[in-house]
Amino acid sequence: MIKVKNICKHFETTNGKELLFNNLSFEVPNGQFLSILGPNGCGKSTLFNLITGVDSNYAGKIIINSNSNPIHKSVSYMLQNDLLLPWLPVIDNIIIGGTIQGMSKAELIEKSNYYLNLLKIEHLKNKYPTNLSGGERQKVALIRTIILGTEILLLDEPFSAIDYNTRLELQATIYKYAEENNTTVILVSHDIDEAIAVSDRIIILGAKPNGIILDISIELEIKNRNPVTARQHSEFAKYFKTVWENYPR
Amino acid sequence: MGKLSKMKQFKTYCLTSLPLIVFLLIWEFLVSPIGKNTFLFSKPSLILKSLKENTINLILPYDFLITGLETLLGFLLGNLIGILLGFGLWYSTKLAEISRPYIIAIGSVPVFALAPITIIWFGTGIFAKVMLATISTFTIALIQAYTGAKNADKNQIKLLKTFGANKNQIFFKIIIPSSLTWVLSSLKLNVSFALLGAFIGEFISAENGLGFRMIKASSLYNTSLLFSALLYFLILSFIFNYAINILEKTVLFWKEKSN
Repeated sequence: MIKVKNICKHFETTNGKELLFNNLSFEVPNGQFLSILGPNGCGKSTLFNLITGVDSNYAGKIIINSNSNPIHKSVSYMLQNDLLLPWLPVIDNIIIGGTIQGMSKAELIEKSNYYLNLLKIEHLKNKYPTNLSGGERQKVALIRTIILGTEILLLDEPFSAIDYNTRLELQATIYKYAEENNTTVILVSHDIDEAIAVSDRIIILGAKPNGIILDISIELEIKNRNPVTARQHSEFAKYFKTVWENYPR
Repeated sequence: MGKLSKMKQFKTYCLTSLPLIVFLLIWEFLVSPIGKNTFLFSKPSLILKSLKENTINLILPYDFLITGLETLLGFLLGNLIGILLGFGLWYSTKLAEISRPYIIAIGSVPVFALAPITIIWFGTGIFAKVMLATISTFTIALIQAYTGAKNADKNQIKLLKTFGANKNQIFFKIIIPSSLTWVLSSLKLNVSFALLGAFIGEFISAENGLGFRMIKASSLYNTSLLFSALLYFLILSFIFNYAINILEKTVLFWKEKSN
């Protein structure tokens, strides 16, 4: 469970302080897949920095699973850029987070091998990141995020720079992973299609100071829902229309 | 393909050597007819003769070893202290702010200006030259290491923070590896500066070493010996640069693998 309560966040600019969030509040129940949409500069990535504790300069409260654990034990974060370390081979890039958290290396490697096989990039595990394509790099970054096995995943536009097929493949992987593990996911995206295809709920953030201008549940009754079948559902277009009409331009 | 590539390489070597060969020939034949010119400028054949004599009697090899040792020790010491301090400043922003004017002050003093006081403090032996080579290299190593550390990718650091990494983990997993390119470029620059430091020390006060040999040859108008010592100096510089290139390939192996 994530509770964001009355968050106020300012930014220092050349013209003085600028208000980014004004009493922003929302809750994400356990196991929910939430997408946050909004225009550039609306503070989507900043919100993630606040949730992960990277930025603690704000007013208000963020409660993650009653805050009984350190944040990094509950939350893993996949950023816009894959951020693979060029001096480490793929396998070491994948396990870096786990080793920092003191997890067993053997267990991490076993989990890595499982996902490397699943995403069909097992042959790349000893390669260096600059030898990988954009899609392959993003797959590695995804494995690095999910092998930590946290209850909450924060995904900051992770598929924005990859080809459509790989994007669908990764969306499906994350969707399945979240469903199987009852993981709470917050996905920040610009892509309305993507958000409807994978989410249980969509929030749209407005222009500064940012508040929620739309909060809807996505209910697509499909057996074996995945990002492809979701796109084929008759309700998909209806949700698209609602989101599109409310999306700030 | 391999044969073609070797041919191409051979052609490049020939073309690279051509200007040098032409220059040496012009030098040899332009200077020869007039005796006075030979005295002032020497000529390749005389330099070769002097080189042979002073190599056989071990004068130049001994000087080479002395200068090489002074340079190597100063290079290692200056870079080690500079790199450690540079990384240390990354740990404390406050310390970096306080020390900035001192670093700029030390860096702006020419090593020549420090040579007399170094000789007074450390004597005329090898230690003073090592100190001068150390001073010559220290500032660049410090600035490069600090700049490299400061320029580490902020998002990579942020990523590690989301994993719960502490400052030491960030330092060893991000700061050091990402600064290595900067550190290695400072090592390359510092080869010349370490040589310069040792040379200046020998120039001012010494009993042997290539700098001492050159100043002595100059005062005796022994131009051929001067050029011979200069050749040894060049060889020393080549050896250092070659070693740094090997070190670069070893340390930045991932760049090679990436290619």
